[in-house]
Amino acid sequence: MWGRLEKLEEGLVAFLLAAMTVVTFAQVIARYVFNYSFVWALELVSFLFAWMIFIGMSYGVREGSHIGMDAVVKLMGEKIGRYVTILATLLCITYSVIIFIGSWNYITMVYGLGNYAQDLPIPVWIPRLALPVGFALLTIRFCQVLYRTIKGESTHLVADEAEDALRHHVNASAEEKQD
Amino acid sequence: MTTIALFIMLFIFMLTGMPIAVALGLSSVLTIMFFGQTSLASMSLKLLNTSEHYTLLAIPFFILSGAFMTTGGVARRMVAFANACIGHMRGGLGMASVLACMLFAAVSGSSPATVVAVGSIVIAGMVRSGYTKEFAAGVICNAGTLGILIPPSIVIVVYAAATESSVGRLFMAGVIPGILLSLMLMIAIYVRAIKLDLPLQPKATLKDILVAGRNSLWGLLLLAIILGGIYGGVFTPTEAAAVAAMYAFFIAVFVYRDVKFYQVPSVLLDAAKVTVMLMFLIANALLFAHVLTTERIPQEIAEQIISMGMEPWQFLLVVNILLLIAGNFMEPTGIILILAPILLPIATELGIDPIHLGIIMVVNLEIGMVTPPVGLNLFVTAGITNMSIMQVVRAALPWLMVLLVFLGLVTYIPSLSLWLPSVLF
Repeated sequence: MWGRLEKLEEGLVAFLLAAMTVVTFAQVIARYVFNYSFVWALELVSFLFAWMIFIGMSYGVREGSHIGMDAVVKLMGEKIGRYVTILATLLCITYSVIIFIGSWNYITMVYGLGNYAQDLPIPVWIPRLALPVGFALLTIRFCQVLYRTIKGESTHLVADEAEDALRHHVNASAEEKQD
Repeated sequence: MTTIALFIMLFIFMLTGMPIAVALGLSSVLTIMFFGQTSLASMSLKLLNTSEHYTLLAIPFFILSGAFMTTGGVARRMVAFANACIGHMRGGLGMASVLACMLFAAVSGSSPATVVAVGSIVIAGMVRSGYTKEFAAGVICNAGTLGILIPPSIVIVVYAAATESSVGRLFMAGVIPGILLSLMLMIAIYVRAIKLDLPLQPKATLKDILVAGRNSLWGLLLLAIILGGIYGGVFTPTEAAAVAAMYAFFIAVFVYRDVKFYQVPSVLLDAAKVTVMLMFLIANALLFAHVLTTERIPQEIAEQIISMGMEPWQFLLVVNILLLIAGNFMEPTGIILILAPILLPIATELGIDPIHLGIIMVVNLEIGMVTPPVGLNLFVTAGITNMSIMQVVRAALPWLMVLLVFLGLVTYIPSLSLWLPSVLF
């Protein structure tokens, strides 16, 4: 069940990026080739973009792809470093809870106003639901990191960018060898 | 008081090793909760507004086109072309790898990606033909920084968004400095090569050059589409990025066939992951910048600096030193997002063009990528060569001097950056 949800998360993020690209591309083609422009394209793309960012940020925590400066924590040694990481994670949870509350307030406000989107015929609170949904997911992911750190499992709050770039390289050359 | 609280919180949060995005967001939110009047709801909306920022919309598309093009195959074709063109000169292999980095930078918007893609092909080749490993690693580590200077560059798009400048002009402004840096590195290699008596390669026939050129042409057309399209007014930078992404997909899957169709979802997911990481950072940095401007912090700093009677050249010197130090500890996007809103009002006041300031910042951050402790290019070079970080630092040092001279030129000769955009626009 959990595994399936995680697959869904991945698929959704990749799909949103593909959809944004195709819609923007189609809009350019339509304008230049068929001399027809659809105004709602930009609004649609920005909605897709919002969902991609805010669904994706919790996925980023799971994948450990957010960048940070962990040099100092690494210098502190394992034990103190772990306490600092727990503190950092608690602060991250504080952040995502604050923004969740803020965005929930915002959504109830626009829901009450009943505004519609500029070009698309939908109430504006639907696309903007991305914000509270995203920050709820983010809170869950940070709690997961906290739980694992307290249990002493190896986790990471931030990315090792160099390792990421190189992992791609290893994957790419492995694939080339297969060919 | 507010300023101090904001910056101290940011600094402490960053030291705990939390994501920089969260450190920026949390320090801004707490500052507003304690000192400001803005409601939580409108702060959250600020984060959402990032997704409606038209310039920033170019970022996912440029990352996606880079992801399709950053395959071993594209880099190999460019290396072959560069070798055919200048491989026969003294130190030709080294110079060709700089040229390959320059060409590759024109399809990828990232420096470490350029180092990995080009370096993993050319370093082994250079060592085989008699170069020392240090020489090869040092050259690639530095030449790879061209990735963020030559368009399309993600860092430049971020600067454009943070300062409300034109992406098209900034892209054009990076072209001449990018070519100049490549030439300077090549000359340095040539001089060293004569001294070290490095080997020559057989001269390629015109036919070889044309074949290699045709093979890499599809990749290089990407830049032509982007710059030509923006300059010709065919599309906006954001649309150009989307067209580039579709083009890169088409070339990678159907023409070069480096990417198999079943691999497309994983390329999409990789690009999405990088995009989300950047956008989350940018969203929070814009919230941070919002707090800065509502507290009038940049204006205050600007007034103070101007009342000190600073000359433009002195200010630029300070900017360079500040950025070189910052570049040692943080990665480029973060620095641009935090410092650009502070530096820009001062620069404008002193009559420095925002486009020029942008190129200066990018060149400084290039240098930051090859200096420890947080030099991303150093880490990836160490990774692909199996050298230790310290060895790579030493290997990169002589070429870093070239970058520093180049920084001086770009800083004090504004026309290097400003001439091309002023002619074209």
